Amino acid sequence: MRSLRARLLFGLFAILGATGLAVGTAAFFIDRGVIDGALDDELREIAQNVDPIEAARAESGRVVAEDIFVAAVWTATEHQGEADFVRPAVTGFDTVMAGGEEWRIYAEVRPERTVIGAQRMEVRRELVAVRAFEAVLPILAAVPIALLVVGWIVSRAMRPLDRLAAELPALGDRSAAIPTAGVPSEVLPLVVAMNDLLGRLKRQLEFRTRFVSDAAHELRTPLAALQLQLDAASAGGRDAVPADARASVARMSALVAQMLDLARAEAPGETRLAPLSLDEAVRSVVGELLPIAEAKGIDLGGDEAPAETFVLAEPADLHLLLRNLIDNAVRYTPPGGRVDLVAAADSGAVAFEVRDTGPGIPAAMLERVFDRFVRLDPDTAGTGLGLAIARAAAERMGATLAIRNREDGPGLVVRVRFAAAVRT
Amino acid sequence: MRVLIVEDDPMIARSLDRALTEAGMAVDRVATAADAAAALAIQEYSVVLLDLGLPDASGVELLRRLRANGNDTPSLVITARDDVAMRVAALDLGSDDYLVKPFHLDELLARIRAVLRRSQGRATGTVVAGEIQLDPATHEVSYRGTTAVLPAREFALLHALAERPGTILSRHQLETAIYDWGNEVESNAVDVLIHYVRKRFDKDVIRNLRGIGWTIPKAPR
Repeated sequence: MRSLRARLLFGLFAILGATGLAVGTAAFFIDRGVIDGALDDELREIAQNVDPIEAARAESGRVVAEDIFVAAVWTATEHQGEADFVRPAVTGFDTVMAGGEEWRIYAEVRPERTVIGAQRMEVRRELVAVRAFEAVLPILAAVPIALLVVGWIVSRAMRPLDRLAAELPALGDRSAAIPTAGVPSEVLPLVVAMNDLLGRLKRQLEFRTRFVSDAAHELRTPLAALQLQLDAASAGGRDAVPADARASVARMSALVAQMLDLARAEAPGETRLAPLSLDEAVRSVVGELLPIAEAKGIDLGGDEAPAETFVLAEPADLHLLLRNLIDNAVRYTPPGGRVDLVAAADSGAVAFEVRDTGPGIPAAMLERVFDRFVRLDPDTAGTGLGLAIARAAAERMGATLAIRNREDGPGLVVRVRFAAAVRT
Repeated sequence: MRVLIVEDDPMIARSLDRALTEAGMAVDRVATAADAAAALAIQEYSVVLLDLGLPDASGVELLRRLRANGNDTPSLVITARDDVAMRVAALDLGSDDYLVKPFHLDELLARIRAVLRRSQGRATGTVVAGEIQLDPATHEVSYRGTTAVLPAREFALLHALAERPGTILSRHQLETAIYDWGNEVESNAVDVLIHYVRKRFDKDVIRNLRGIGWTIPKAPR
């Protein structure tokens, strides 16, 4: 049985039931003995106190009363004849057969007459059973009531656990601890241990992020030296350094930069969102990418908006998101191509699209491109981290990212949905 | 031209030394903030290349002390750290530019030239952006050997762009800049002014990004 509640209820119900049954049975037998004794006392009372006149009128050995109790009287001289009862010889209780039935009798044997009080065993048994049962009845009635009360107490005691179970999934990914207020003392160590675990997990995550960030930073210095040496060597002559060596260093530099971006975008911690100008962020990113776009002869632009668009975002994440999306578009669009940046506001949300005239993505790969280190074209100097960074940055801001191929020709459309911000 | 390299990584320092010497500069190199302060105290340099992660003090701290002592030698910060806070701190402390490792030698040389031009401009009050020089006192503008005195609104527009080379300004931002100079703004004023400026010099003097804005590139390519 996995449920504590079921275990408790089963155990308590079993004990209550068994106790009720045992107490009831014991009470029944004890009460039966008591009632038996009481009936015997009555029988003796009758035998000893039979009215002499009544007794004199009775036929010898015959039943004088047809009540629950009957009595038979014999005088000293009477002969018993075909009397129903055999005349007893000694004073005391006995069980005898008379007229085909079983009787309980008390005989009072005196010199002048003998009297017996008798009761049919059948009547007597019924009487004893009914009275004993009546005595046990309250006990039997108490058991179901006790079960109901126990059930209520158990479910009430379990309520803090239910509440805890309901609260846990509501805790955010980055939340540090489960609140301990109102947690029962038996469960408290568990919650404290879980909080401890959560804390360690958070530290691990921070450590991982910091490690990636530190490692990438450390890589930058030798890379810078390598780059300078290559540049100095190729200043001597075009063929002094193989183009592949230059491309490898360039790729490594890009990879290090993107590892840092990814570490930043995946860093644990709460993100504070504020209304930011999307246009301003786009201008800043486009300014950074302008040299690359110009070198490839790519027409990078958008529609001039009549008014500024504001979104709920965090400055560093917004910049990271836009830079990776636009950089990707510029990178995969062949020379002479076109990249459009389009923002559209609708009910409560702002959709921002980056549309390129690159090769697009095979339908089967559309889902996988958000994974890390997935590269579609090994010849392009991409790192395979751009979209992973964009997605991590978008998630931190509660924005969603969708990717699709263009319908009007080759090319890719990446769409970001931000919560719109009313400018205050 | 004398350059001081403040860099604790010997590989980078050696490579920089060799490359800059080949480019015709006189190079001194030190590996600690203390040595850098000592060198700057006894020798005039045209520019200081400053690594932020020094063993004895941070480059930012060195920069702070230099500026506090009235030393305004042009500086170019070279660092592996590119977080925004660090960048802002370095620029606020009077660093003239900021270069993140790894970088190309060509870019470094271009940035050094830009820093030098700007520091010379600072001395004479001129604004330098890429290949453009503006003199706010005379409204004189030079670009690729052509010099002209511009009307107030054309100069205002170009000045706004040249103040922050590499930054894209929107139509609204340019309109505000022209308005600040005390002129009425018509709806197509920006387009008209840019047309005039381009006609005067060259199409490339101001770059346009369709629907996004206009900019003057930071460094010539």
